Amino acid sequence: MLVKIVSKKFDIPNAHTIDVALEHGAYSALEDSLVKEPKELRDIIIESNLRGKGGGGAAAGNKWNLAANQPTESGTRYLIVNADESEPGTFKDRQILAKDPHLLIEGIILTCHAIGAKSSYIYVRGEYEEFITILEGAVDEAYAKGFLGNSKYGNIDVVVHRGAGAYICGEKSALIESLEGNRGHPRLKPHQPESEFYFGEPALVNNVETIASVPFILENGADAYKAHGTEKSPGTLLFAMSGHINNPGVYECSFGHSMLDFIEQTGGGIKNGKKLKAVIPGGASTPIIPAHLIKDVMMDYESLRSFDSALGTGGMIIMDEDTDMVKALKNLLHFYHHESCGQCTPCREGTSWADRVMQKFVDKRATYEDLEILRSVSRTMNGKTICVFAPACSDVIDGFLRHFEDEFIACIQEEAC
Amino acid sequence: MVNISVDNQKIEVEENALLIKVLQDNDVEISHFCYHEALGVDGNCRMCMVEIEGAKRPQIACNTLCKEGLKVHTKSPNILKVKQEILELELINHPVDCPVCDQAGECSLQNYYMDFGLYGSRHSVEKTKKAKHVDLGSNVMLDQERCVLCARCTRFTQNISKSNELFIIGRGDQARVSSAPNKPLNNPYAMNVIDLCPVGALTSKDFRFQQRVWFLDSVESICHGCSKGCNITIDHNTTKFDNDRIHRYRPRRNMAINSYFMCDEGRLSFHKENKKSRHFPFNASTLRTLMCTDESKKVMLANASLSVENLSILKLFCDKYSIELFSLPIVDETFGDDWLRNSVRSANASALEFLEISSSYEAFLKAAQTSKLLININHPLLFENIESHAKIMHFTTHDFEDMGDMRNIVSFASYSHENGTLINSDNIIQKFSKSLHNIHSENTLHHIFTQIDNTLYKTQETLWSGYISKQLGLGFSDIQKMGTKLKGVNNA
Amino acid sequence: MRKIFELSPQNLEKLSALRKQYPEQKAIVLPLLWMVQNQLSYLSEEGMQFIATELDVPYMHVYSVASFYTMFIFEQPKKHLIEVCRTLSCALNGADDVKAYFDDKCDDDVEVIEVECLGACGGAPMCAVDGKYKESLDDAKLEAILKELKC
Ligand SMILES: Cc1cc2nc3c(=O)[nH]c(=O)nc-3n(C[C@H](O)[C@H](O)[C@H](O)COP(=O)(O)O)c2cc1C
Ligand code: SF4
Ligand code: SF4
Ligand code: SF4
Ligand code: FES
Ligand code: FES
Repeated sequence: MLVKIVSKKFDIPNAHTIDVALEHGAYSALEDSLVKEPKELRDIIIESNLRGKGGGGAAAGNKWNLAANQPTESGTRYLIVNADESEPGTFKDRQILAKDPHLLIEGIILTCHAIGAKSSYIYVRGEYEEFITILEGAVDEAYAKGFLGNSKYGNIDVVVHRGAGAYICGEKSALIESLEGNRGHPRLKPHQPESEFYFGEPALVNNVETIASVPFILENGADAYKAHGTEKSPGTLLFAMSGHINNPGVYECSFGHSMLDFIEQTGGGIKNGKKLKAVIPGGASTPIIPAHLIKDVMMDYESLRSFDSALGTGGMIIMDEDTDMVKALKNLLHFYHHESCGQCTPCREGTSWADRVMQKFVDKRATYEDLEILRSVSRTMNGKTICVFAPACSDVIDGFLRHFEDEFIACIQEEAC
Repeated sequence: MVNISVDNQKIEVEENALLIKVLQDNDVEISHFCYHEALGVDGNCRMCMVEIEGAKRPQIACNTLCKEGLKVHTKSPNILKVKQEILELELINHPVDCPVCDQAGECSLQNYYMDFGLYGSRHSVEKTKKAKHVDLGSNVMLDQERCVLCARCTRFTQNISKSNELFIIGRGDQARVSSAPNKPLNNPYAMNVIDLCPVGALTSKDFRFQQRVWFLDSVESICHGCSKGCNITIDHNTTKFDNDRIHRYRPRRNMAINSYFMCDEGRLSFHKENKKSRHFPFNASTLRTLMCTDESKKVMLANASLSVENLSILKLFCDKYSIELFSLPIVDETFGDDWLRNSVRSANASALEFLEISSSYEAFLKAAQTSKLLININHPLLFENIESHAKIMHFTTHDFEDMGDMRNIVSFASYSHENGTLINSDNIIQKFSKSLHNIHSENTLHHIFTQIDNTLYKTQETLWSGYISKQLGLGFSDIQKMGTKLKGVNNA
Repeated sequence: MRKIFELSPQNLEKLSALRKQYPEQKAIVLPLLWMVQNQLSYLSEEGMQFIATELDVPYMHVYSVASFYTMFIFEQPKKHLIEVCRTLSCALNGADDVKAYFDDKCDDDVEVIEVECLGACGGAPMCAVDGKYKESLDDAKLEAILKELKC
């Protein structure tokens, strides 16, 4: 179940320093891969079926091709690494930033080569100040040792860019807006499939872990990667567990295993010997799944879809039998209310309304009409906004109401709540 | 060209045309706040949702491009429901203070509220509190609670006036429009944001609480503030115990001239128009004696903002009685810019060439020095600083300083009291219409001069067919609604 | 006379390095906001005006951007800042108690606020003390934090 591909050096003391990292094989994928044609590298990634690990699970190879083939007059292309990691329940990317930043830098050099980029930005959430310091140290070392900058490895530049507290800046187009010096407002959807654009030039946005998976694949081949996981969800993910769990943390695991086994074996079961009530499987934005269904859930994209949820970031929030679902939803809606960029009406007003209605539930002032309002606000937020932040919030509400409606009704009836 | 269908009607459109524009151009009603032709697409209000056959979700018309076979529904029950729900969200933090809101009657929010039949608010929680009386400067008041954050005003100051005073600050439901401390709205076009604002969040200090808009009559006119000739709507009415008065000017769309906008100075120039002079009646026979029978040298100076018709009647009159006619356009170099405002402040300066009226300052000075009679048709120069021993006869629309014993003053109707045409700085001739009807409306220049000499063309129609059309090379009926560009003066 | 903001010599050096790292100057609004905030401990009007002038963007652009992000502050802060994570994983593990504890014990030198998930859910409940993450908080750790801050 547990594998060490991306997390290979996590347990090695001081692997964030370049000497230790080099001792353990850092940058070993460069020599062989950089002599290959960019297209060849992209083909390996396509062949590997690598899926983006930022939450959406989009095929990485397709995105690389879009970025590499997007016409540009100046010839400039950019790689932007998404280290905004703000999805509640998710704390995997920081493991890479803090414990093996050189793996990320190696992945960046390879990806830049594959898409024809020379500059790369790593956008890290502002609160990760300590990890930014480590990452910047690693970048400096990589320059000093000739992996970055003027070097035989393709003159790649890496800039670490610090965010300043905005969950929405994890959304790729909002991230780019932020990186251009603007408010983090997501952009309107393009009219045809195309790459992202940074100051008008083609750009690729990938999650930290996606890029950190690249060295292994290019060094060992697509098949070595596909040897892990399932056909449609190949390879591994840094799954995380938090909430009411005995061994919270981040564990690299191949796709396709039983979620219940993972919780019980790797996670050591529910805290204080309590029973499981529900799991939010992949960061706050994925719909909740009640305990009675969990035993059939496999940890891959397809299985979670079939339970009307999503794999998301793989950050599981585990809740024991005593968890108050009304309060749990209120907690999450407060988050969405606080984090909406406020650009489009259904989201700006919907998240705030839903949050306030939930306060009424928590205060036991809610009525059946409020339940109806919650449902209709959720409907209005779904599929009508600029980005998928609002639909995600809507899915969260629907999930709680689908599985735990009785608790909301109990609240209205002023019973135990 | 491609074929699309809108509510089952076929329309032929340019490929990749913006759907919302196509709908507007074809008079298909489409609710919207944020889209504006001059400001472009922002896609934030989500009010322009349409149903597109084959698309899983409703789409915004302002970000949809027309492709062959596109099938659009704007009024299906599904889409109405969607809009209703979005509108409901739009309204939950809105104060709904329509009874005291100046925008009432021309508020998109209010209109859609009626259209979608959203009665009985379901709002059951407290609203977000924001500032209600923010003085943004330049006569613009902001009510943050009424704002729907369409970002039209901010996009205007950022992309059009490029003065950058207004930005959205804060995030989520705390987002609001703001200017910087000590840096109020301060650009010559600032008040356009009031027209752009689709709701009552931005209102004019100048107009606030004066009139309910449904009591106003609107007339299409042309701003006389400079030679640009911005198209405007004059809103006026008569209230009890008061004359017919103008309450505001609003810019009117003319893509060839002012697009959707006008400058603040032009906008506020109606105040002057309301300050019509006292009524100084004329006596035709006295004027006739003075101007037509005396053989001595006479000079007339006409304001170059007079309409083509008025300048023409003066020209014909002067030619007949050997009066030397001049018109000196007023130029203010500090006024012009590279957008609308033109340094030539006289609205009809371009007409002088067509009507062969001299605009030479030197020639005028020379003529004035030896003249026995100066006839001033509303020209500021003669109200103030010309040294002359000649007798001066004033025809004026407005009171001026030092009116003396007022025996040499005749008042006449200013532009808002009559129909006319103007030729702007780009040689575009445009019509404007009479809006005010009051005691001054009788005494148009045309009326006065045809009373003095009743052989002159009595009506504007005969004046056009007998004289003006020859000078301009086009007939009155050839003038298009949005103006017609004249070919330059034929110097043959 | 208004105070004019100036960057420290080290920051000036960093600024010229920053300018080379981005295709357009506007992109360094965020790095510069950080720089000013780190130097002054908050964003003053003069500091933001400085950024606007340096980057040739409107002052209101700088302020509009700064006001979008929760980590920027516009007034002189207290000596210490404790950010208690309030989001679900921490809430499930007693974030409320952590917040109540600090509210009760901290003196006026310390600003205690609730923040959204800090990406340390595995260490719930947690907080950040002057930016440093303190995870898996228990009574002993809470006491240690107070000692450190000398409350
Ligand atoms: C509201 C929202 C927040 C997001 N936050 C993150 C994030 O913190 N980190 C991340 O990698 N992707 C995040 N994403 C997904 C990104 O938009 C983007 O799809 C991803 O970075 C692409 O990388 P990948 O294909 O390698 O996963 C977010 C998306 C949304 C809609
Ligand atoms: S859905 Fe929400 S977060 Fe996304 S653009 Fe609209 S307001 Fe911003
Ligand atoms: S003030 Fe008016 S124009 Fe400006 S954002 Fe608000 S609603 Fe739009
Ligand atoms: S630019 Fe000239 S014509 Fe246009 S509104 Fe201003 S003064 Fe009037
Ligand atoms: S007009 Fe289309 S979203 Fe506002
Ligand atoms: S929920 Fe507290 S750190 Fe994530």
